[in-house]
Amino acid sequence: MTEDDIQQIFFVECEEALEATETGLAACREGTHDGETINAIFRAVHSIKGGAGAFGHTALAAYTHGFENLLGEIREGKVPLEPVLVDLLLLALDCLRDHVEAARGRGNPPDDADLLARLEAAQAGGSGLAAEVAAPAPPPAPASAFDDLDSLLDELSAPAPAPAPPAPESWLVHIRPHAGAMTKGSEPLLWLRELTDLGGTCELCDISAVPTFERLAVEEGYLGWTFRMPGDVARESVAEIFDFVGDEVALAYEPDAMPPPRVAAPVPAAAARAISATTDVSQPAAASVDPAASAAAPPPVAAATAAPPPAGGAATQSVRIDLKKLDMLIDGVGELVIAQAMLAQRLTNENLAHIEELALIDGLVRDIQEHAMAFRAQPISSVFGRVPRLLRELGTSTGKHVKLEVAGETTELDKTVIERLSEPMTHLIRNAVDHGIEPPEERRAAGKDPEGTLTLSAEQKAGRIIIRIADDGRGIDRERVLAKAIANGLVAPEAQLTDDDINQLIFAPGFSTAATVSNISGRGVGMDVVKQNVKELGGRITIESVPGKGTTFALALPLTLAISDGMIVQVGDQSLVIPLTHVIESLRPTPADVKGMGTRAQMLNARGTFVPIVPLGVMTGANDAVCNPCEGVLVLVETEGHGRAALLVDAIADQRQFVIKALDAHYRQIDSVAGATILGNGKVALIVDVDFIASSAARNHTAVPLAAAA
Amino acid sequence: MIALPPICDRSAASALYPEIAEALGPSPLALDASKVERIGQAMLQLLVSASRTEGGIAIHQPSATFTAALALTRLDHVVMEEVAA
Repeated sequence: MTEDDIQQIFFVECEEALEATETGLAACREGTHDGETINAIFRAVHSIKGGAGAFGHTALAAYTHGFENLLGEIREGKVPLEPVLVDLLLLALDCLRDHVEAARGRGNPPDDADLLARLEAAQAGGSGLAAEVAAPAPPPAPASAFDDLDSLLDELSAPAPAPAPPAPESWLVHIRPHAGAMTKGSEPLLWLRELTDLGGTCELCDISAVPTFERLAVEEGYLGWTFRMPGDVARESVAEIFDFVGDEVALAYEPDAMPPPRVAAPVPAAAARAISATTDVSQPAAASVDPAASAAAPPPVAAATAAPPPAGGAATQSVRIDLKKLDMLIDGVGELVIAQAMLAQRLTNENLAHIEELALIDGLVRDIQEHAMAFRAQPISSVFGRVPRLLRELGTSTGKHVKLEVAGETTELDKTVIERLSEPMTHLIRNAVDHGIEPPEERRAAGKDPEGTLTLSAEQKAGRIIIRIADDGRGIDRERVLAKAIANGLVAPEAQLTDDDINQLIFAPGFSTAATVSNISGRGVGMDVVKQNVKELGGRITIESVPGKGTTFALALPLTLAISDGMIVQVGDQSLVIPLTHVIESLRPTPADVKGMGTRAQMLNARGTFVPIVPLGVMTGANDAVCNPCEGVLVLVETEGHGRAALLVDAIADQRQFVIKALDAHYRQIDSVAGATILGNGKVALIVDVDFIASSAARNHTAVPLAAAA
Repeated sequence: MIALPPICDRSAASALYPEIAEALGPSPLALDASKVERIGQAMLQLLVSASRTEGGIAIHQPSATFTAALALTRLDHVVMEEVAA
């Protein structure tokens, strides 16, 4: 594993730490936090700092140091956690995110001088927090981030409120890196640099252990250092530098008088002893002069033995796997499902369909498939987690402060879907705040809470993931949207459109760009892109909008893009697959259940509700398909948004898993066909797009009152 | 004269070890440190060891990074006892 690989892991951990911080601060904002929340935030920031130091990201390390100082004070209860402070911490988090991005080589480090000054002011001023007013002017053009830290440290160590107490005694730390300290991507010299940055100076380097050249082993660690640290630097600050190093370095603090092993040469040892002796004398003296100073210094024994705070948090074990390998596994599982279907078919031909072994394989294949899919599943919180920052930024640019409510963030989705979801989500949220939610004055006038609310929710429903983005804004002004669409020539002036049709107009390409977005109350920018993105994911987007109350965008996305359960039906000479997630029941109706409507259409009376019957034979053009519902089988299906339909088929052949192969990749996209699959007999079967069929069936029938059919 | 590479990390130290071992003799071994941009403990202790073996070493044209690293580690007097111009 190269240093780069390790660094990549660090960045992944940074992401996790940033998420954890965001979650923690959100809890603080809602007032649902406890001591552990603050601890978790502290640990997260601290772990970024540790890694940043180890990899030499000085700007990031310096910034996290300032951030962490304040968190430390909050953790110890010295600074009360007030709402205004939480806001400052959220700002600091955003800046931290930018720093991490900069460390990854994506952009320049942000200018953090002002923010660091505010963090420091918050730390010093406690609850006063007049930081915004009293924030010291940023230091004039710092040469490097470490200058910031230095000045920060200088200010920290400077006597602030009370008359200057005598400076505490400096102290010594001995460091001896072992062999492993140089092998795992870390570099002892970086630690020494951090010690220097804390104000330490190297007293001596112990080279007594270095052998002659022929006996030298490059991997071994032979050097040891003694650093003198200023008295106002806490021992914890030094210990933190080595948090990530574990056992790879021996540390000892004077006056513990226990230098690390192998400091054997007479001169350095004597020097260390001499120093030790002088401080031993001066220590009680200092204590007698100023008890506060020595009380502030941590008790040496506790500091030396206290374990550093755990860096990771929860102890879930995980392995990082190259995504390509994972996808190969998933592809393999797909082929396995097909092979298993073929085997089942062959055995059926030999009258062996019901042997125990086949059922066993069936179960195992299903298990493997589910587990393989679970590898790719990720909670949607990774997408939702970015929203608070987006809202903060939008709040700054639009002046609209929006509360965020989130539900179902643990819902899991396929990684591919998650990755491609963030762009359309960002677009929709931007639109909701920009155009949906009114400015505070307007909201007050309408009797609403001046602060708008954005609700994000995710749930699994009918084999799909439904993500809702709802605002409580002014809703879509359909009249104006329609007028604009007619003016743009998108709709004929005499067209009769339903509310839903008008809502859908905002997705029309060109609609948004032609509209003057600022004075149209509907939404506008780039909505066609959103629809396209969602469609590419195999999903659908619907709008519910109530004028004055708000708008909800519902995204229905497939759980996975690869394997699904389906009912294999026979229609004439064709085999078709109906995704099982849509199927409610199947039945053979009696003549009394079926009512004719118009000249060709038929309705099924399904326990009191009339459902349009869709003869799949007619749609597919299959030969010899059953036309009379009473001779075939009706499969009752339900869809998201288009109600129910009864699909007329000849017979149900089987129910099994199928591997979805995209049709447009091999042929072209066809309405009413969601894809294709390979059956056990090696033939290709088309997968019915139930949503499309139900919506077209609904369109043909809803205009006729149901009473007419009865 | 042996030139130290820009990145003097552990693998550079391993790579350079046989060459220096071969070249060390009764008179100081000349090492060119003008290109050093980064240096780690492994290379430093290699230089310390070399400086204490046979005729030792002489550093030529040390780069700023090199000098700073030696100052940080207080190894300047050990490694650069005989700095050549």
